[in-house]
Parts: sequence; structure tokens; C-alpha cells
Amino acid sequence: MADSIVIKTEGLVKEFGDGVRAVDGVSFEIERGEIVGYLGPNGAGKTTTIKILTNLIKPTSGRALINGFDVNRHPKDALKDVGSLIGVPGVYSYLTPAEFLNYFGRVYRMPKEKIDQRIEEVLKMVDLLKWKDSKIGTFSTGMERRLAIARSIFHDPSILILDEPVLGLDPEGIKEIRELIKSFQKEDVTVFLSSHLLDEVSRVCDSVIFLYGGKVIERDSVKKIDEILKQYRLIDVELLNSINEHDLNKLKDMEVIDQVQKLGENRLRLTKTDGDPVSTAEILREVVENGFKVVSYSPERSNLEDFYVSLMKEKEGSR
Amino acid sequence: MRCKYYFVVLIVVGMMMLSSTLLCSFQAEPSKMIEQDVPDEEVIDVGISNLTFSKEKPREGENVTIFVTVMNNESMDLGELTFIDKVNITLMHFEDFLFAWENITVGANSSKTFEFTWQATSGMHSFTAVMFFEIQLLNMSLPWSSRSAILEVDPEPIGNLYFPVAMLLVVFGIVGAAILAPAFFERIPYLQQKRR
Amino acid sequence: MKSIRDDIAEDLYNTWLTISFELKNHFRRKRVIISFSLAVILPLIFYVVPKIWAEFPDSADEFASLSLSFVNLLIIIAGSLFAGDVISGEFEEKTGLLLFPTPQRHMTIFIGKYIGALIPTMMVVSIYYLTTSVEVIGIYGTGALNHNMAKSFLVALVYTTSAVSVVFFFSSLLQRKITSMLLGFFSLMMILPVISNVLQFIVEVEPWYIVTYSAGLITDVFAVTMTIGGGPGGQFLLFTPDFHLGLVVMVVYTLVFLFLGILISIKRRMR
Repeated sequence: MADSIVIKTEGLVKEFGDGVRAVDGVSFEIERGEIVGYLGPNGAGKTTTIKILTNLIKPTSGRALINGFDVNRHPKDALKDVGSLIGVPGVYSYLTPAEFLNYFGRVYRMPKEKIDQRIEEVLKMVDLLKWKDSKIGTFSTGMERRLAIARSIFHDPSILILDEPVLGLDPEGIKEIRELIKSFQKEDVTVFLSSHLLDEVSRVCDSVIFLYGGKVIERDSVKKIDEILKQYRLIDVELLNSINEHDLNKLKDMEVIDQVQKLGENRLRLTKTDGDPVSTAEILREVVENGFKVVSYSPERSNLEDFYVSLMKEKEGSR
Repeated sequence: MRCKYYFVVLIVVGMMMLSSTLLCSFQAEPSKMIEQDVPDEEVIDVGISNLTFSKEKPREGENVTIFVTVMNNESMDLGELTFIDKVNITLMHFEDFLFAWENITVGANSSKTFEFTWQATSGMHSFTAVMFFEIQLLNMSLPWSSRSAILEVDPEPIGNLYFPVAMLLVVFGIVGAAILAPAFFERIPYLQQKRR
Repeated sequence: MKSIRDDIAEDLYNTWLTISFELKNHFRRKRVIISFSLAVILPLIFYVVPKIWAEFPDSADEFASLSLSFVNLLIIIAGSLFAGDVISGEFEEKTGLLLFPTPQRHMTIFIGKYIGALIPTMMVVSIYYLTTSVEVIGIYGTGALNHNMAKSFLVALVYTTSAVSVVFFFSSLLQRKITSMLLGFFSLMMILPVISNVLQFIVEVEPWYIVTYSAGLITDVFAVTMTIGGGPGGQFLLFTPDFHLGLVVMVVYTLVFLFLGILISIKRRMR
């Protein structure tokens, strides 16, 4: 393994008791200092991969290496420089944040002075310093989440493995975490970030690995993905009347629309793939002219990840 | 919240068991020697007045002396009497058997104590001394006289200090070895190859 | 690869870290107050009740045997409280998601957790014996305290290791901590004793392989004939556990249930 590669998986397979393959031959490499997003819909195998990478579960076959050490065979060597945050972990409610972090500092063999110094630093970073000696049991969910994040960066790891790090955070918290992850880029920290939010990943990552059905289906740089996405216009439309088969066919026949998807009784999603912003206005005009009574019309970007995954699925199907 | 219910249930169950045991145990007063008087339909004032033991609560294997006192408050000498002990070995089944017997004579207006030696076995034992006359006294009806007492014998102390210490060392030794074992197993080439 | 010496030293230190972390967690919770209070109150009842309403037994051994007949219950209560959620709690509350992805062997974490539950349970047992010993000295004088008490204490400690192991096993097997605590408690308090009694009194076979039967040694070592339970002659026992065999059974339970629990935990982890 080249020195620059810090995370590597080789044909990872994880089969659960019911015969379901959560991860099916996943292989990828991540270089030092890279911030890589691991994207896929729920159930794609993101968390399973992350759990294998952090020694929470063993793979059925294949192996996961961190800094050249097999995580499942040599967890002490592989994980000593790794900070991780997986899902929404619980925190020990009977302890104080200082005691909680102190324990993990000792697990990572940090000197006492360093532990004391880092407790102040990271608690300040996640805005929990004034609750340093309060019982964690009295914390809100958001505070617990911030403490878990503080724990993952407490020992100054050079590799961070984060699974849905903004889950359960308020918008301000999400922004703070985003800034924090971006700041790691300057510090040469490698970040492996799993998320089902494409938007989230595109804001902080250098490149993205797409996972679908337990398989890696694509790996692109965020720049390239952005270019692809720019081509897509998704428009959610709500009509006054319910939509029948005839209406759908009428919409599909319109030249300005590439795809029509019925979302509900009177809700539609229209897709245009020419990348031209003018077409959004054109579509609205055509729809109205064809006698549809539009209640709301909203060009969306928030659901792009669903759309992207569906494209990837098509791509996989064509292989 | 459910934990709190759990604690309450635990404490209530525990207290109930504790109180019932306390009541049973202290009511029973296990250490007391129980004497049972068998009322004599005395026609003449002759009979067993006392049945006692040299130790109130002997240990298994100890020699216990059983004292039986016979009194004769009549003005005539009693000729030969026969004395029988009955011993209960099993608490549940009360299997009586003849323990010892002796022919005795007791003078007028006097009492006499007879001693029997018994090697104690563990458990509860019921001793009954029965006195009956072999001689025939003219025109007089002579009932049997008997007296019973229960003796509790503690079993011999069991075990020693070394074995439980050894067992604790075994537990902690094996648990300690389990902590160290992975470091060794990881270095066994055969196992390394097998895992690859 | 680091030297085996460093590797072992690391594992020992990690185990120690887990033990101290577990102890810190336990000592912050109400369960410590509950079990430690019971360890003082239960033997005190055996002192106060006869002092006010009855008489003390004739010998110190009888008193100790009577008082310590409840240490068994306390071991089960304390063991269930301290070991009942050590593993299931990590899964149910998802604290394991922070604990397990650390540079430690999971074996050291689980063994540390077992010892971390064993220590407070043994402390509870020690307090019970200490209180009983003080009472014995108060009632019968210092000379009354004999080696039977020490023997009983050691047997109780061995039984503690097995009771904690059984509860630890359920904790690793079950998802919810309340279920594992209750199942651990009832298996030692009811299920195993019922099986033992059925074997003794109905099948009339000595249940030497049942650990709760062996636990009778805790008071049997005083060799006092108790008349608890009534009935003709007062005693129902058909069998009494053999001292050596009983202790071996306890150790076997300790090791089998501990390592089964560890194996299940390692296999299960954070699935």
C-alpha cells in the first residue's frame, strides 16, 4: 500500500444471517488529506462499510486497511489515529463531558496535560465548555450530538470517519460541522464522510464514492458531479385538479419536458436535462397554456441525490 | 422509569422472604432442647423424673452422655426395673430402635441417675426413656413411665479455607490469561495464515 | 509489529481503563446506594429483630448462618444491577458506537466490563460480611469469630463470580437492558432453584450441577442444623452440596458463562 493511501478496502463483502448482502465487493482507496464523500440511498451499505472500517463488524470476505493495518485483525494499530462518529451514538449519561473525554483521551494514550488542554479546546469548539462539569444526562439531543463530535476529534486524529455527522443537528449546528470538516482540509486530515445528502457532501468533499445496492457504482470529483447536476432541472408542480393518465401523456408529449413523474394525486415532478435555466420558465408557460391549473411551481435542488442515484441505477443496469 | 419498578419489586420480594424466614427461624428457636412430658397415670409414685444430655448442642462425632433419673417416692424398694432408650436417627422417618437397656433397682424414697454414652451423629434425634417393671406387685397396677427429649447435633464443619482461595485464583488466572491470549494468538504463524 | 511485551502491556492497561471507567459509571448511579444499603440493612435486621422480639441463637455460628442465608439473595440483586446492563446497555443506548471503534481489543473491553461489574458486587458481599462479623463480635465477643466466617466469605466470593457471569451472559445475549437484568435475576432467583428443588424432591436426584444448589455452601460451611421451614423435625433437605464439587461447579459456571458472553458480544458487536 502506497504511503499516500490511508484508507483502502479490498473486495469487502458483508452478508447478514438472512442472506442479505449489505456490502457486495466494495473496493476503494482514499489518499492522505482527501475529503471523500460516501454517498448512497438508505440501505445502500454505507453504514455497513463504515462499521467494517471501524471494527464494529467483521466482513464476510475482503478486508479493510487503515494506514496499512487490517482493521479487524490489528484494531489497536489501525484505529489509533482514527476519529469516528457513527450514526447517532449514545453518551454515558452519568458522567460529565470532562470525565467522558478524559476516558477516551486515556484510551488514545494522550498525556494528562494534553488531555486537559484538549478538553478545553474541543468543548469550546462544540460550544459545550460551560457544561464541562455538568452531567451529560441533563443535555439535549443536540448537545449530546455535539459532544459525540467532540469525542471523535478529541485526540487530533489524522483520519476521520464520519457517518451522517449532521444527523439530528439544527441548521446552525449543521453549518458549524460543515465549517469544521472544511477546516480539516487545511490540516491535512483525511475525512471519509458518509451521507445520503448529496448537497451536504458536495459542499465539503473533494470527491464522492457512489454506492448502490452494496456496490460502488461510481467515483467522481465533486466538480464533475456539479457539472452533471447543472444539466438537470427538477420541478415540483402541484395542480388544482387530480392528474389522470391522459394528463400524464399530454405532459410527456411536450418537447420542453424530458421526464414526468407522478408524486401524488395532484403532484408531479418534471425533469429537464438541457441545463438551460430558461427552460424552467418555458415549462411553466407550456403547462399553463395546455390548460393545467397550477397551484404551486417549485424548481427543486434538494432532491437531487434521489435523482442522481436513479441515474446511477440506470447506469448499473446498462453494464 | 421501569428500572425504578424493578428495584421496588426486588426490594418487596426480598423483604417478604426475609420477614418470613425471620418469623420461622426465631419462632422455632432451633437451639433449644425440647422436652416432652408424657403424663403418667400414676398409681404409685415411681417413674422417670429427668432425661438430660451432657451437651445442649453437640457436634457430630462427639461423645454425649445421656442422663436418666429414676425416682421412687414410695416406701418400698423396687426390685429390678428394665430401662430402654429409643433413638431417632432420621428426622423425617422416626425410625425407632432399641438403643440400650438396663435392669435397675431403686431404694425407697430415693432417686438414681443412670448414664448412657452415645456418639453423636448429625441431625435431630429424639430420645425416649421408657421404664417398666418386671416384678409383679400385689394388687397394684403399675403403668409404664416414659420421658422424651430432642437433641440437635450439628454436622462436622465442612471444607477448608484453601480450596475457595484456590478456586478464586483459578477464575482470576483464567480471566487474566484471556486478556493476554490474543497477543499470543496473533503471533502464531499458522493462525495468521488461516486468517489470511 | 510491536513486541509481544508492549502488546500485552497495552492490553492490560486497556482492561484497567475499562474497569476504572465502569466503576466510575457504576458509582454515579443509584444502584450503588441501593445495594450497599441492603448490604448493611439486611444483616442489621437479623440483629434488631431478635434483640427486640426474641432471643439470639445460642452460638455465633448459628447466628452467622442465619444472617448470611440472605447473602445469596444480595449477590443476585447486586450482580443483576451491576452486570445486567454492561453489554446490553452499550447496544441499547448505542454508547458502543463510541466505545468499540477505539484502538482496543474488544476482548479487553468485555473482560474489563465483567471485572468492573464483579468488583462492586464483591464489595457489597464484603460489606454484608463485615456487618455480620461486627454483630457476631457485639453479641458473642471477639472469640466467637471463627474461620467458618472466612470460609463462608470465600465461598460467597466464588459464588459471586458465577452469579455475575450468568447475568453477564444474558446481558450479552439480549437487546434490552431491563430484559437482561430481569432474566439474569430470575434465572438465579427462581428458574435454577425451581429446577434444583424439582430434582431434589420429586425426582430425588442430587442437583450437584446447578450453581444455586452449590450456593447452599455459603451457610453449610457453618455446619449448623437449621430448623427453618417447619415440618416434622423442621428440616426438609434431602441432599447437601459437596464442598469441593460445589466450588468446582461455581467456577465452571463462571468460566463457561463469561466466555460464552464474550464470544456472543464479539460476534454481535454493533450489528
